[in-house]
This record gives sequence, structure tokens and C-alpha cells, in this order.
Amino acid sequence: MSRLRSILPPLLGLLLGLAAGWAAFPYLLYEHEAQPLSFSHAAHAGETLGLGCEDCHGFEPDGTFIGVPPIEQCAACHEEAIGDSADEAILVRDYVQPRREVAWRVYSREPDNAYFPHVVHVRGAGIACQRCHGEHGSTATLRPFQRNRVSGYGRDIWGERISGIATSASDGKKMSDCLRCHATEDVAASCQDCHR
Amino acid sequence: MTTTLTRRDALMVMGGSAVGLMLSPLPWKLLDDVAIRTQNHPWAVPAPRGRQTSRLTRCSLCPAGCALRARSVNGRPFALAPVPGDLASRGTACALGLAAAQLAYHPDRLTGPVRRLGPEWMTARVPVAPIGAVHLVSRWLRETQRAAGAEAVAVLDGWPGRERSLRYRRFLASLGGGTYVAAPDEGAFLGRFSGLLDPHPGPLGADLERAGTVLSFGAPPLLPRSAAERGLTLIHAGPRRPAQAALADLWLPIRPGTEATLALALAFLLLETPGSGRLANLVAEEREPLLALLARFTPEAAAATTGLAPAAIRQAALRLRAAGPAVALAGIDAAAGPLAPGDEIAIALLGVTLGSVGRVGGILPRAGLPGASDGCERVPVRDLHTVPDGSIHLLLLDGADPGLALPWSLVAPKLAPGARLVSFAPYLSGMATRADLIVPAPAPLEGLAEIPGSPVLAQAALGVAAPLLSPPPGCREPGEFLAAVAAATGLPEIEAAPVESRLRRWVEAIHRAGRGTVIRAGGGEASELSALASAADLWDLLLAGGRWIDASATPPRLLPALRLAPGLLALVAAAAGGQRRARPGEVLLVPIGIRGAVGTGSLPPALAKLCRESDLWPAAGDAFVHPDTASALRLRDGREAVLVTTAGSGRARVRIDRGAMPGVAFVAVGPGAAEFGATPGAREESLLRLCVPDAAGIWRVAPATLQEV
Repeated sequence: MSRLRSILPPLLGLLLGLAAGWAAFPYLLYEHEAQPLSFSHAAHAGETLGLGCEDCHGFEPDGTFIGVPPIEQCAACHEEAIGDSADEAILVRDYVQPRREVAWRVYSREPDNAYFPHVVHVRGAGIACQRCHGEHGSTATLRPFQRNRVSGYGRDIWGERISGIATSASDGKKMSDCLRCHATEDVAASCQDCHR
Repeated sequence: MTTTLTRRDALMVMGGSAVGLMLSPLPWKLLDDVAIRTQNHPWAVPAPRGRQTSRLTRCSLCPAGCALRARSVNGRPFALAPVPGDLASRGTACALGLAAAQLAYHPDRLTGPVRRLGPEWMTARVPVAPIGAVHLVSRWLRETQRAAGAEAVAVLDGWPGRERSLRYRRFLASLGGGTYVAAPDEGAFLGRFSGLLDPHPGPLGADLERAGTVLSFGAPPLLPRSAAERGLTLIHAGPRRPAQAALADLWLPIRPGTEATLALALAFLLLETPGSGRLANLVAEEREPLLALLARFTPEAAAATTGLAPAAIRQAALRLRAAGPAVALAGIDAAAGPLAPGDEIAIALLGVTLGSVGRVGGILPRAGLPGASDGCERVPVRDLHTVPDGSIHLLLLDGADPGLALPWSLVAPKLAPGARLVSFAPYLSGMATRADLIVPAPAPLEGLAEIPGSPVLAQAALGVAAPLLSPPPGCREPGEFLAAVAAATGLPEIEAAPVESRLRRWVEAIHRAGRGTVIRAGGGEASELSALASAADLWDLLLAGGRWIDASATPPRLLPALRLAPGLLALVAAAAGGQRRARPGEVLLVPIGIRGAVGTGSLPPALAKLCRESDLWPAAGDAFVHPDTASALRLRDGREAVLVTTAGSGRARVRIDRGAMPGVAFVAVGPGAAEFGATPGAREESLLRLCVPDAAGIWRVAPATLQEV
């Protein structure tokens, strides 16, 4: 009994520490920000409308990645509401008609000190968008954006797990993830390829 | 059963928690995130969301004017990169140019006029309304004119030869003749060289496009890329191999202050048989005394002074003779400044004996930029050392920073007690920290700026840096500010047209002249200017990063000869024979630095950070000494030492370097990477203050003691 009594306090402390580090810390580290609108990739892409990723997230003729499409592109179809969802009504009223850009929170936005050339990877190497972005293109809604309170980066950069251990090939967009892929594919990488 | 929680239990829980936390991701993840957060500085260029665009432009930080591709988001540039297809810069740009996108966000950036209240040592400044700044300068102007006349109003132009320079001179002319002072620049040597020739050829330039060999003293010129690719031989003579001369074909490591000796020894060898009739064609007067002087500078005699082997001097002479046409140029060191007048005359004499004056591939008359004649002859260009001490009551400091050092100890004696200083610098740094009033000009990338090309080259050139950002509302072009001051003071009206309309007039004049070639920044061959249909086409081409280069200079009909006025030979003899030597226990202090990092401006913050953390560049305050010198003075690598000259003392970090010349301390100066992050305006002055300019305004070498603390 006395032995258990002596083990209990440090064990309790250990469990508290583990709980704080593995559960409370991630909860406190990331703040949740809702997207300004919900958006269904599933309703636009795939078999529903047949749009491909590059139809909206395409490239300029000079290879510049457009990223999030401008509101003009949404307006091409949604000048008037074509469905009955509340989000579409907001899109048309608050964004399309006044031609105001939607302030989307970009999950995989690279840090300011890094430059990721999409055109080299997508057009040059023929890598599928899903390789890095997973099944994001088939989701029916947008999950909240989680911003790291300390670094300011989105959670997708570090990866889903706080341990940093990837659950899939598309989990995590850290420099080490880039380097691992380059090593696997036997493609050389130097600092100035991305940091310039 | 009752359980009593003791203090021991609490400590055990805390200990267990600590272990538990250590076994969780918290410590390393937090460390990682904090490390990232500390890398986010206020000066980092914000990369806003939006569509990326890119446009071609030219760097306006120095006369090289390298082509750059500016990447912007929503019209805001955040990254600059060299342009591989550009014929002028050949896909290169220096580190300063690549980081220039940050200059507009510099922590020292001023967004409106500020005035210092109180004496010079006070760093606090208060904002002034733009109109208030105009009236303040107008009042100081009237007071100065009443008390000491128009001559007591001076402009110190950091980068002479620009459109802004003409405006300064016109402003001074409207006063009835102020004092226009040009900071030392690369073209100064050729200007003085021209003054030594008869008949007077006007402005000179080096025809490096067609030269075979360049012998550079002081610092090598900015060589055209095409010349380097053509196989131009570069020989550099100087105590330290500067970064620009890293690719020199031959380096002649001479002792500090022995440039004239080497130049005379080479002239002696090139004339082969002093006393021959050839000299008569080259030198108009004082031939016999000159021959007598040259006879003293045999290779053996010069070797004892310069520290070179006689064979090395002979070999250099052979190379100059073999790969002609050859030109000898006195450059300006970024930190150590220009060479002494005696050195320059000796180098001019060498240039004359090389037979390159007035010949293709040599030194030729330089046609100026069409349309850029100043019409301000009433206000001559003066060197700072020629201005009488204590004569300036109101000094207007141009804010341009061509990247060359200018010690405050050269400026300070020229100021009258209680003199007012007005600076047009965009930053609260360098000399601007001494100003009573700062009216910030647009920073690089914020204003339309012309890039006139190197004043060393025989072919004039023009590029234009298009504005990529809007300047803060409180910033004003100095020319426009001075036009407002002139109006407020009741001076004859001077033109207040915006820079663009005035530059367009230059471009129209160039197009009318119809000579030269144009290159496009995006690539392609150079094409004749005459192929462009209109001046508007030329303007558009320049705005898109293009460059106009004048036609090759033509030799004059009558070859000029050197006219050595009485007294000049004595100056040469003194320069060649009177080099400074360190006494036992002393070293010769020679300031060194990277162009762009020693001037009066501000370094791009990322570059300053890189320098501070990496030792890539000599950090300000480092003193490089040879191991033998360190041993003799009992100095240890990395230790702090006190450097003492007649001008004062300062702390330096000893760096033992086998590449340093024995007996010399090469001291890195500049607005210093190491000082970055200090309170703006409160930084320590660089060790340049320990170099005392002589009567000719030269600060290249100073005897000093270096003692470990």
C-alpha cells in the first residue's frame, strides 16, 4: 500500500504532463477560424460538374500559379444564384455582385520565406494534386482553418498529428516533407530552389 | 482511510508532470514555432494574398543598373531576381540588389519630414508637416543668405550626374551661386586626368568595350559583362584583393600608399629607354624633370618600396605591352575612398605612356547624355576638400547612396558653427542622423529613377527604374521640394515638373540624336536606336527594363599630350617617395568594406541579418591582421582590441588572416551588420572615424596602434 502511495503522485504528474503535452497543447496552440463561406468541392469537381482542379486553380500562360481563383471566375457561373443554398446566396450578394474577393483561409499556404513552384511540380513532374492536397478536392464542406498561434502557419503545414508523424503522403508540408519526397524521387534540391 | 497530501506529493506530481511534458511534443514543437516566430521581422516584405505578377525593371542602387525581374502580389513587389537574358547584366545581380525589395520596409524608413529638437547628440525627432518643412528651410535659407551670402548654402550630392543633380545646381544658381559639392565617385579620376591634357579633351571615359587590358589601382571599375566575356585582361594593384577583383588575371599586392611608385616604375619600363623622342609626343612640358624622376623608379628601386619582386613589375609591364590597348585607371575604394592626387597624376602619366589616350580601346572623349546638359555653369562642381573650412552655413545633403564611404570627418570641418543640415535621405541612418531636418525622398522601388551608367565608361548609357510602389504621402522628390522652397523664398522660379516629364525630355533628346543601341531586359540582341519609331517607344522600352547605350566613342583628331604644370611633378615625387610606414609597435590602418555596405544608406535588413549571423562579409569592426603581425603585437584571434589613431580610439575584433599584408590592419567599416537592430539614429559610428582625411581629402591609410584588451 505504501509503495502504491509513493508511486501515485509521480504517476499522476506523468499522466497530467502527457495529457497536457499531447491533448491540451494542440488545442491551445491552434486557433480555429471559420471560412467566410462554405464551399463544396464535391459539387464542382469530379462527376458532378466535371471540373478538374486546374479549371479553377490553374496557371497563367507564363506558368504563374493562380492559386485561389479570383471572384471573376466564380462570377462566370454565379452571376445569379443557380442553386438554393444559403452560402451561394451570400456569395452572390456579398462577393460576386460587388466584385469583392472572398478572404479564404488557405490551408496549405506556404510561409512567406518559401516559394513553391506549382507549375514545375504539376506540369513538369506530372504530380497529381492529391499527392500533396489529399482528398480536399472531393470534400463537401470546408473545415475550419487552424492557425498556429505562435508561428502563424496553418496546421496543414505541420501536419494533422501534433507529433509531426505523417498519417499519409499528403499529410504535412514542412521542409522535411519536401526533402523526403525529393530524396524518394531522386530529384536534387538546393536552398535557393524554394527560399529566394 | 484518510490521505494527507504533503509537500513531497506536490513536488512528485510536478516532477512527474515535467517528465510527462518532456515525453510529449510540446517542448520541441514550441521551440520550432518560437524559432519561426523570431524569424518574422517587421521589415520582412509582407507577401499579401492575391495574384502574382512580374515585371522587368532595373536596379537603381548603383551605376551597373542590373536588370531585375520584380515579382509582385496585388502590385506590391516582394521578390527581385536577376534576368538571365539581359545583355548588360548577363543574369547577375549583387546581393544588395536582390534584397532591395525590403528597403521600402526598412525599420529606419522615414515616412515624412522630421526635425530634431535640440543639440546634435539628441536622437529624438518630431514630425513636421510637409509645408512646415518648406517654410523652415526657406527661413534658414534667408538667414544664411543675409549672414554669409549665397556661397554659404551648399549641396552635397551623393551621386553626381543624375537628373536630381541638375536640379540641385539650378536651385543653387537661382540663389545667385551656391556651392555644389560632388561626393567622390568613380568618374573623378578621369575628370582630373582630362584637366592634365592639352588640348583639353573635355569629359573622358575608358573605352573598355574595346580595351585589351585594364590596370586598376584603388578598386577595379565596374567592367561591362561583354568586355569580361571577350577576354579583357584585368590587372589589379592594391594591398588587398577586393571582391570585385576576385576574377582579376593578375593581382599585384603592393604596400598601402605605394600606387604612385608602381605606376612610375611601369611607366619607366614602358618607355624602355627614358630620354627617347617618344616622350615628346606624350608629355607637353617638364619632360626633362620627368625623365629624371622616372629614372629613379627602376623595378629594383620600386620593388623595395612596393613590396613586389622586380620580376613581378617587369611581368606586369610585359602584359600591359602584350595585350593592348591597355588603360590604367585609378578607382575609388568603397571604404578607403579615392587615391591621393600625386598617385592619380602618376597613374595618368602611366596611362599616357601606355599610348592609349585618344585611341580606340583607350581613354576617349566621352559624349554626355543627349539632352542632359545642365546649363548651370555658374555653379561649378567642387570637390569637398576644396571648400574652405567653416564656410558652409546651410548644407543640403542628398540622400542618394551609391554605396561608397564618405567620412563625416571630411564634412564636419567645412561647416560653420551652428550650421544647419537638411537631409533628403529616405532613412534615418548615416549622415541623416546628424541632420536638423530630414525631408525623406522616395526609397528605391518607390520613385522613378534614372540609372546613368558608370562615369568611367566612354559610352554613356541610360536605364530607368520604374516605380513599383507608391511612396508614403510625406515623402517628396528633393527637386520638387527645393522648387517649393524657392517659391516660398521668392527666388527666381525653378522648374517643378515631376521627374517623369523631365526624364522623358532626356529620352526625346536621345531619340532625336539617333545614335547608339538599345537592349531589352527580357533578352534578345541589341538593336539600333534608329529602329525605334518614336521617343515614346524608347521610353516604354526603358520602363520595361531596357537600356540605351551610346555609340562607341570616336578618337579625337589631335591626340592630347600630358601637360604637367609646375609643382605637379613634385606632388608625384612626394606621393611616390613618401608612403607611410608603420613604426615599431604600430600597424597601418586601411579601411575595407563592400560597396553598398559602407555608404551613408541602409542595408536591406535580411542582408544585414545574414552578415551578422554568417560572417559572409567582413563585419564592421573586424580588424584583419597577418599572423606575424598578430604575433608581434600579441594579438589573438577573435579577441577584442583597442585601435588608436590620432583621431581617437575604437574597439575592434582581431581576425587573424594569412591573406592580410604584414604590418597592416585591414579594418572593416560600414553602417554595420553588427549594429543592425539598434535604436534608429543611435548606432555607433563606424571605425571610419579613425581615418583622418588629409588636406587633399584622402583617408586611405592611417598609422595606428592595436592592443588587445
